[in-house]
Amino acid sequence: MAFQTLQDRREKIPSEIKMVRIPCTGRISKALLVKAFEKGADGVALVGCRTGACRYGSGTLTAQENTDDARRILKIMGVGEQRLRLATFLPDDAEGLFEFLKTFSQEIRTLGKSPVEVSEKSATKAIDVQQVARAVSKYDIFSCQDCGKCSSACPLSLTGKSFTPRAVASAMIAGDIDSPMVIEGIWSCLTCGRCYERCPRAVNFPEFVREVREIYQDAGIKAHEPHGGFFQSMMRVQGSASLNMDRWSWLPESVHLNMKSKILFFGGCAPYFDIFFRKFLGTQTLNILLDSLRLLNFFDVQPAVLSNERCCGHDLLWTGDEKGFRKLAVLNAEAIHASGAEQVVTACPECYRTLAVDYPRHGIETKFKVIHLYDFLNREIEKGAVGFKPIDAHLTFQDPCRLLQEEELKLLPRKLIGHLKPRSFREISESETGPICCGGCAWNGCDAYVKAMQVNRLKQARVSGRDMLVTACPKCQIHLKCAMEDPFLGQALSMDVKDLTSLIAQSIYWA
Amino acid sequence: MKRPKDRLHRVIIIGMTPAGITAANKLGELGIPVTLADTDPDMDAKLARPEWHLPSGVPFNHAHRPGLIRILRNPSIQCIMPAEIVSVKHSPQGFRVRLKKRPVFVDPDRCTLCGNCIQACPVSVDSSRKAVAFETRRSLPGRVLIDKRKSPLCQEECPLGVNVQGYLALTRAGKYAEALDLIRQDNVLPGICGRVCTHPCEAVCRRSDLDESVSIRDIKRFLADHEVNCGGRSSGDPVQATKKEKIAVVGSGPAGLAAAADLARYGFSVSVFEKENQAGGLLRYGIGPYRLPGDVLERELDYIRSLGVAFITGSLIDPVKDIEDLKKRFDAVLLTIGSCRDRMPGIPGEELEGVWPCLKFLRRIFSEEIKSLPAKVAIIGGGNSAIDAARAAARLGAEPTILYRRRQQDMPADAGEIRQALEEGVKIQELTQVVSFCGRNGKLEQVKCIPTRPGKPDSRGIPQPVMGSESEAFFQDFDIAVAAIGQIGTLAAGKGLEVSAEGLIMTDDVLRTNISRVYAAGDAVSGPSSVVEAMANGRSSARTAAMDLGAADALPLIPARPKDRPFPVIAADVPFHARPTIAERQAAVRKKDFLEVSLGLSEPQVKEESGRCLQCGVCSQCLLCAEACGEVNAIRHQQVCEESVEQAGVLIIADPHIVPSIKGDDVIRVYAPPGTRTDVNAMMVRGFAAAARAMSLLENVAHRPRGHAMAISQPEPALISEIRLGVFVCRCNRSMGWVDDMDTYIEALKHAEDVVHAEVLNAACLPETTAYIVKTVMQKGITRLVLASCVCCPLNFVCSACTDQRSRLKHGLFSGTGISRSMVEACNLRGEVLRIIADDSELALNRFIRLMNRSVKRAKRLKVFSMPARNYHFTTAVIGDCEASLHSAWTLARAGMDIVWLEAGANLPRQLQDYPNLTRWEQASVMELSGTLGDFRIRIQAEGSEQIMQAGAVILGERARKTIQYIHQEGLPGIYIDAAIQESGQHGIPFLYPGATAIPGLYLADPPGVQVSKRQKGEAAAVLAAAVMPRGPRQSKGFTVQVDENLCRGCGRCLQACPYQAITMKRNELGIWTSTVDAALCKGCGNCISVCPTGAADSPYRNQAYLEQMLEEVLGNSELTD
Repeated sequence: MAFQTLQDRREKIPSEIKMVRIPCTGRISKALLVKAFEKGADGVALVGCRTGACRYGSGTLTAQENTDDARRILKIMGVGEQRLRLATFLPDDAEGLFEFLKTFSQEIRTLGKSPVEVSEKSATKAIDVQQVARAVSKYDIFSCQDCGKCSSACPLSLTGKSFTPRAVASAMIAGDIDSPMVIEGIWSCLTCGRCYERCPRAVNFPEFVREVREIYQDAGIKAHEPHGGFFQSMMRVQGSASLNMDRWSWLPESVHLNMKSKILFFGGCAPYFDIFFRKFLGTQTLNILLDSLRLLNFFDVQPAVLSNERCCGHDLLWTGDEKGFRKLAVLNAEAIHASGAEQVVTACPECYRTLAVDYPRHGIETKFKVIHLYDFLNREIEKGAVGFKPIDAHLTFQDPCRLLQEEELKLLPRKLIGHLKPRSFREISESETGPICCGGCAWNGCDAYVKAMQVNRLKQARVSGRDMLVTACPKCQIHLKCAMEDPFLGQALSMDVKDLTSLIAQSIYWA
Repeated sequence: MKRPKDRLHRVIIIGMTPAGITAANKLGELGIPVTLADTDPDMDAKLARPEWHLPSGVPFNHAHRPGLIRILRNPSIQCIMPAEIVSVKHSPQGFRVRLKKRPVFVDPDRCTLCGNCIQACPVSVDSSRKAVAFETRRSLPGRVLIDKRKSPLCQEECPLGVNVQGYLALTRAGKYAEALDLIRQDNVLPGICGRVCTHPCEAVCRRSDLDESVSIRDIKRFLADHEVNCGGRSSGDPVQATKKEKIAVVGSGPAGLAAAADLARYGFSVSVFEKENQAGGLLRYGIGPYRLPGDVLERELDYIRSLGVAFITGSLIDPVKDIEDLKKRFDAVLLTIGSCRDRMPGIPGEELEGVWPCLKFLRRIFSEEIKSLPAKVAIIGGGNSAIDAARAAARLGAEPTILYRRRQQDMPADAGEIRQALEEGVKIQELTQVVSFCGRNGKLEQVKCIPTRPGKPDSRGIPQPVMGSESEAFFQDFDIAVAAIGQIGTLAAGKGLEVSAEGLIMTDDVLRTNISRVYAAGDAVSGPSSVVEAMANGRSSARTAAMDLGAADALPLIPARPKDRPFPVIAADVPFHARPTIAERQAAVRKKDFLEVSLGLSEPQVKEESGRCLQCGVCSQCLLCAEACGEVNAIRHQQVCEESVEQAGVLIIADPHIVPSIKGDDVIRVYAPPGTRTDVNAMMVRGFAAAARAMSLLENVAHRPRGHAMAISQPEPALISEIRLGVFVCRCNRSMGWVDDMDTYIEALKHAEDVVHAEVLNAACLPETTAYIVKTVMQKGITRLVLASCVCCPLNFVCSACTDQRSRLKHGLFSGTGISRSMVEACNLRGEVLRIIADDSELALNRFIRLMNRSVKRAKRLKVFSMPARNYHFTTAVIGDCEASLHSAWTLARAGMDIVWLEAGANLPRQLQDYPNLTRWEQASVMELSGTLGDFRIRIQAEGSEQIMQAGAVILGERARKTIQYIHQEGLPGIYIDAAIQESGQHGIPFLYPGATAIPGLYLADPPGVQVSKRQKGEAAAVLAAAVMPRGPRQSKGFTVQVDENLCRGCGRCLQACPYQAITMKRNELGIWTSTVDAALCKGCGNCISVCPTGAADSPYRNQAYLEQMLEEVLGNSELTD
């Protein structure tokens, strides 16, 4: 209203201000706020109604929360929280709005251009049939025997979703590369690797899917990105070289770091997750980082950290955005090399897999060794000088896919749990299906079937009185907690969720 | 009231207060016709008053804007504003209200609020406001207002009715040509009148109340001269003779010229006959060239010729003999032959040589037959002719003396001319009566005079001269004596033309003579008069002739002024400022020739002088606004104050200050007692209660639906899959400028893929233009439309950003035209592009192309809207036995609606028992409540068993509100209904009417915190419930959120986010719960969308993809062509 008054009066609204009309500030998700920066905004103002004057009651509050969260995330990423503002007015306060617009645009002008590099939009082209054919042969999809073992292992197929690796494989072989079924299948696959594990011909279906996603991205066939694509945007923003990030200032003084250390701790995206899911899930993935560092200190390691640590690129890689992944990978590798670290420790399975496996695989030079924290802990604990306080809970464990895919690591979590002293420990399911994915890997493909899968998983976990679910990946924690949030089923699904690292950190002591 | 009234099915509401507006809105929703009247012209401005701001801080006009616009669009609501309520009377059918509809001189259905008229208006009332203005573009109705007062005295007093204020305003604005055009509309002789007019206008000029009158005549002269000096045209717009009739005008004096010009402009062929060799009559032969130079006359004659008037000079027409002949050749004859015979004093010696009648004397001088004169010349008389004779004589070597029988100050001649004459050596001998001319040998030698003294004043206040006795007589020597004591008619009574004893032609009131098709005007009818009077008279006869010839349609429309609107008071800060003095040639030089004496005002003087005009009439009727309005044609200067009588069954008075007092129990009064604090929520509740009482008074007149029905949305015309794109671009009357390349772009667009029509329209919101769009869509089989105007969305709801123009255009496009809203991609061209043309046309063009490109692209991807179908019960349940609930039940019962009254106490008033449509259920105890509008389920325990009752709307008593749980979602805990009202600084309370709740269809009988009686609160709840019942099919609003079932994880965040209970959850076959949106309840705010983790919830109208694309495009990271 007020803006319209300014338009009607033909006030000289600063020309750099571009207006997008929205129905209510509460409509604008964190994703859209961050996307504006990804798409080249130097400043973003969310302008709406004053508290108490929102027609829908809650819009202003929602906007406040979303803006606060997005500002904190922008601050960490080094884009600058000052670049995002929520401004609210009464509808007749055109002068107030005008004043704000002038001031805000002056402030942004003082701050200068946004450090976010706008990635050039490559023209979308048709699906490259040749490339698909090459992928089919590269991953030897032809060798599929159509035995169906994959389908009987695929957690999504098991929920009843009309997706099976087998069907997608056959369609691809037949050259059906753009039917809705195939596209839906390629974007639904959780890339958990259960099929690969079962396949008698060892067809690496997840890697195949990843490569087809790249081809799809080029052709403009986008994934359905949950959370409005917030995470993909956030990661692409981090691909800008000139960000001056603020990753670690939250660390308490009790954590000892040594920036010259040859061991570097790579944290991962937990700081963003905790802010993003603050309102709903009470996610505590940041504790994983804190507890990891405490454990390293516990074993007399004072690691270095990267203040400009970017996202490892896992999620962009698995959404088919190879270019975005590469930018992050190069920036991270350069930063690690510059730090002089020889060993990189991480507690995140995805970071581990990406740094250790996918960086070299995509030709990123890594002059350092990547170690998963569990590996380090296992070696230290096996030295035998430590003890564990009892844990008053019946535990069960959710495997993270990315560790399961690494032979040398997949048994480590159970080994570590074996040292703990819970009241009891039991695997989630005695059935033959084995470990099942948490339902979300690269921030794509979340839907009602995934939810159903998670519900089943949690129901199984609750069987015979188990009350604490141990996870080993921040995403497992986030997604299973989300499933527990169900207003109807919540009671039947709810249990404590604890990350293994935190559980160890909280119970370990020098014997 | 002696007898019950047989009430008309209409309600009159007087006063657009919050109470009046809410009453009108509810009655409008109930389908009861309403007349809404107020003295204010603009609802939006009136309702912006600070004392009516809501507790949230939002001004009433903003908060309730959708309702205000619905009032304007509701065909059964008639808004009369501004109106003056003259009288209010009871009548057998209710009330009779007499009101005056004040003209605003604009057609509200056409005005586009483009502002062109304001740009053009030369009248500034103060620094910020012109005579034509609007409050804001949000004005309701959205039209400009012209502030017009009664006719300024200058114009009133001018015999020709020249729009003096108009040309002064134009002059001040430097628009000299326009000013002159305006003069010429009523006065074709501006150069002449600018010199010799007796300017009665200046005599009445209100400026003289302050200092001195404005030099109106001199400004007129300047304008006429300026045209010549700057080489401007001195010809009129060539007028084609559109009529076959030919008219003869006899005589080319002022009356004849004015009449001829008018007749030519009416479209007749006009021939003017003149007996002399040159046209002009008295103007040429009666006025000295030192006052009126010959070339000025020539110029004005040229102008009249250019209008198509033919002059036939040297042609003497005898009005008696030649009439019949003329009548054969012409369809009408106008006699403007003047009265050019001098009256003689009738004293001895008149026959002597040297005694001249004045006109003859002057004609001989001005035609240069007399080249020199002896020294001793006497002029007898005191008028302008006497002065002229004296000054002319002075220029031929005489030493003229004016002999005047009264005092010099009583002379009727123009004071300026007397002064000039004196300067030129003319002597004035006052109080001298000439009694005879004496001579020898037939030649004048002496004039015999008797002194006079001033006697009793006559009717004009001038003392009558009283002649002294014969003994006082004296003689003076003169060679020449000129009698300048007036003229008399030339005609003698004969057969044919009827002539008076004075030799003047006899006519009726409208200047017809006794001979058919022969008219007469000017001095020949009236006797000697002034130039303007003669002209005015001539024009009147022309008008009569035109009317008689059936050419009434050719007469120009005359702008009207409200007679009773007074002039603005002269502001105290207007500085004193005297009239300018005009440069004149020195007397010693000028008396040697016949060249013009006065040099006229200079341009700076004129600028300053026109600025002295007080603009008494505010609007000057210069009509520049009408010209600027152009094709929009919304200005109606002819509007007059219409008095009308409105009849209605019910009268609601919302503003007692604007209504004459009226007694009566059945007058509904909705205003707080004097002295009480303004509480806008209380006002609204009173408004609702008033609507409820009106509804009750008109009981059973309206048909109310009963039982239950499926209200299905009006079937949206399906989107035809073939894309045939029509692009309509509105340039808003060029009010913000236009870039020609935009036309080029749209022209090129015609050849673009899928485009079957592309066109730039001048103003899309005009009724005929909207109709044209509809017609084009039909004729060309257009299936997708891009509408680039000020409209920002095509959807069927009114948001607070909507304007009268936007809603008017949408109404015209979508109401019963078969054009589906889902076919249309609308973009706000005015706000996004046109606005910046003036500052940066290149940027504007760039934005224009981008905007059009993305709109075209989006139009191709439009999707059909959903069609919500709902089950509706038409029974209202009232729960609780408090006083307010009782009134709710009672009101609804009287209005003939089906009601179930639950938990009604035992003490039911007897009157209520008689209503068959009321079911009372005393023993029922309500366990819980669920559902929403149309489909409530009330779980009841009665007589030991449980049952479910269904209702369309529910009214809860206050105790019931606090004890009965509302279950929104089956399987989840219930809540107690919140009665909070939005307040500044408080989160979480949606905007609601007092008495309404966040649950659609659920109302509170006794909302806490509203300071009105329980009775009124109960009635208010009743009308809210009654109005919410659907009366027709519900239309898809198009913006409602949809949930993709496959994506929904059932997390329930949307359920919490929605304030309107629009979201419910159901279990799917996977065993998980997913959300669904009730499109009838969703308001489209999108708060659920932003919390949805998977993106399952999205708006089909402007969805996530739209917003992302929009961001990309406005941030300039996208190719122009994509």
